[in-house]
Amino acid sequence: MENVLDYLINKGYLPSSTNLAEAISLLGAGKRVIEIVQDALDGFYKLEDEDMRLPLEAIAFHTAIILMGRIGGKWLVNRLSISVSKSMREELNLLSDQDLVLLSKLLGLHTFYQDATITRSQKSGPSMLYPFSVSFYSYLKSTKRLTGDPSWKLTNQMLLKGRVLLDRRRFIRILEELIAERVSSLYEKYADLMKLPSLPPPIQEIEAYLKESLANVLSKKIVEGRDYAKNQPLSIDAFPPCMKKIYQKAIEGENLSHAERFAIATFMIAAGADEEMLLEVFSHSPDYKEKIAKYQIEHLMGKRGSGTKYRPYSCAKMKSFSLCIADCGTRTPLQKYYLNLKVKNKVEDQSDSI
Amino acid sequence: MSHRELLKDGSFLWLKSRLAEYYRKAQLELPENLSSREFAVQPLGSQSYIRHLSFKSEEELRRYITNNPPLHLYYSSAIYLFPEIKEMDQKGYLGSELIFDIDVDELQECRLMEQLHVCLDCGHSMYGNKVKKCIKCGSQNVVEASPVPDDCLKKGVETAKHLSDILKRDFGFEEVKIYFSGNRGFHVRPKCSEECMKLTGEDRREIVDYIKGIGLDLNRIAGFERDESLVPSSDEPGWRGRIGRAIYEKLGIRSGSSITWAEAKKRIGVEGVKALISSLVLDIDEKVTVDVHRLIRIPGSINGKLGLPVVRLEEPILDSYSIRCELSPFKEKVLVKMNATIIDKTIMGVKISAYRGEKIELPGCIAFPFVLKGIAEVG
Ligand code: SF4
Ligand SMILES: [Zn+2]
Repeated sequence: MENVLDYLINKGYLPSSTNLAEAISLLGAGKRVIEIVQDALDGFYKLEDEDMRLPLEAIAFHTAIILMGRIGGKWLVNRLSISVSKSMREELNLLSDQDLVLLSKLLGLHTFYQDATITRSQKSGPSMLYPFSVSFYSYLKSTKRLTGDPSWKLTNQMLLKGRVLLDRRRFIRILEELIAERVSSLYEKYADLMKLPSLPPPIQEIEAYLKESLANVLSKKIVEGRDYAKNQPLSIDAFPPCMKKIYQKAIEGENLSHAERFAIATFMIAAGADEEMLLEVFSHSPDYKEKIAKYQIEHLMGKRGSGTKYRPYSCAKMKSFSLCIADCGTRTPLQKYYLNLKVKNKVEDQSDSI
Repeated sequence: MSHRELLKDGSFLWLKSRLAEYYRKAQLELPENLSSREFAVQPLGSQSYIRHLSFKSEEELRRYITNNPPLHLYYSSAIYLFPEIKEMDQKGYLGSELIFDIDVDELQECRLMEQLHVCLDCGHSMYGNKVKKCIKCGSQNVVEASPVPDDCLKKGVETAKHLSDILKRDFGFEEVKIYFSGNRGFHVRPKCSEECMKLTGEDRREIVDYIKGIGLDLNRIAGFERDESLVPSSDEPGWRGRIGRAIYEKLGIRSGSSITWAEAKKRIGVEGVKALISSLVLDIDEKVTVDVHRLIRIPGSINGKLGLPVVRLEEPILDSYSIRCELSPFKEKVLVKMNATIIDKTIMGVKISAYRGEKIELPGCIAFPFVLKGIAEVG
């Protein structure tokens, strides 16, 4: 188990595209690359963990990431990362507590197990039911995407001496998150290879094949997403810097925090976006569930629940969430948007008249 | 408040000389990474801040503040590569301390606290909560003349101590300092490690939510609705322990024995239990903690609202902390002309009785805020 992850995540580092190409043809890994990409899209990637096949799997996996990044951007890579972490759940469940702790350390988590400083202060219960603990810093970092579920909120944790106490099930869930994060981070790691105009022969062919076979799936998701900005009444160009950034993140399939989701949704609603547009923005999220997204958006638009239409954040509020990234001198991002629109229209008017 | 700009020459010069003298010798508690902090001042007689100041050393800072003695003096909670740059996104943000702020007038029990106010137009004095308009002449030129009442200050101290306990016990901070802000607030500042400096705004919000019990799911964490479940024991971590301690203490049950929720509800009532739990929520100002670009009053500097320095409250912190003249660095008596009538009132432990227009000698501790606010003038 540790071996597999190690291979997949650390040892698979490939220094150049030529090396990669050589390895692929040497091992005959092309077919596996294609399988991995397809499995990722279907959401059930399963790693091949026979010892013999590890090198091949590692090469294929990393090549798949590079190609997915080239073809579909971060969104597609995130799809794979979620798929990987889910496929690990079963295996993680089979591991002993001690092995889980070892693995967590490989993933960079500082974990304590039945730690004396915690148990001593306890006469009974919790330390037995919650044998794992991690610092609250790591906890906050690794549960960002989970806090939509109140049971993950820090408020509802057993917090003692800076550590969050966890039972086995929750500890495993955190490991899954970390694995997903590791895989997504390869997107940045291979940025250079993703930008190369072309790759050496065997890989180029795989890429061409994937592009064609994925055209249908991807055109819906990505092409739409990219061109989306151009074909709609809202002018993304005129978004204030803060909203542009969140919007970009959303389109690239990065996970948005609660505050970010709320900020962009209420902003766009106020700027005149309809439900469909918003759904499109959120649909790039790797764990997008249309039903839930729809519900949330309708709620924000005041079509559901209490019927209150939520006011978009002010610049002050954006600042308090550390989401403000410039000093526009306006009171609300919406004001900045309208200002930008004016400027933009002026420029366009001028360019029309000679 | 225009009266500050209208400070008469004599008053202005007196205040300025007091501040200058203070800052020549003042013991400021400055951070090690002083040169990475943004400094800001509000000069005497000005309504706005001068921001984005940066100093290489304590001497440089001292030279600046003795030449331009400020009414308010701050540094940033954040450290930056270029603290002197104005644009936030170019400052090179590196991290920020974790700061908690307790405002006494925001505490549940003190929202309606009464203070002595005086009208600067007719000189009338009156007690009330945040009086905006003179009850005698209707003028809106009304200012506070007495500090926060002792019982509210005491509540502030209690809240700060309670917060410090949570930061130590739950969050594991080893050192937590509590400061009186020099007017009506308390700043609670844990020693912030590198990891702590890097907490994002959102992480900080989660911490605030924890302290305020926001999103607390009583049923999930403590089985509140399952009558046969036990009330969590006092030594448990997190909110379970906090709730357990409060209930067992209220019922006078020693640690070791436990009761069920049914029993607790029977003895205190469901509403009683709920009220007890909501009393555990600490009133801290979340905006301050969540904002990583805050300016903080420098410990040892004068809070220009009341003329008292920001001081660290050392253990054991007395619950009987109160605002007295002894806290003020301004000891010398000064002859002032009163602009208000204050008869038989005790302010900061000093008895005052004077009519509008009367010339009296006031101790510096009272004279400073009075002159600053226009309640009295020098010369
Ligand atoms: S100033 Fe307002 S509009 Fe500009 S980036 Fe900040 S929050 Fe957005
Ligand atoms: Zn009056």
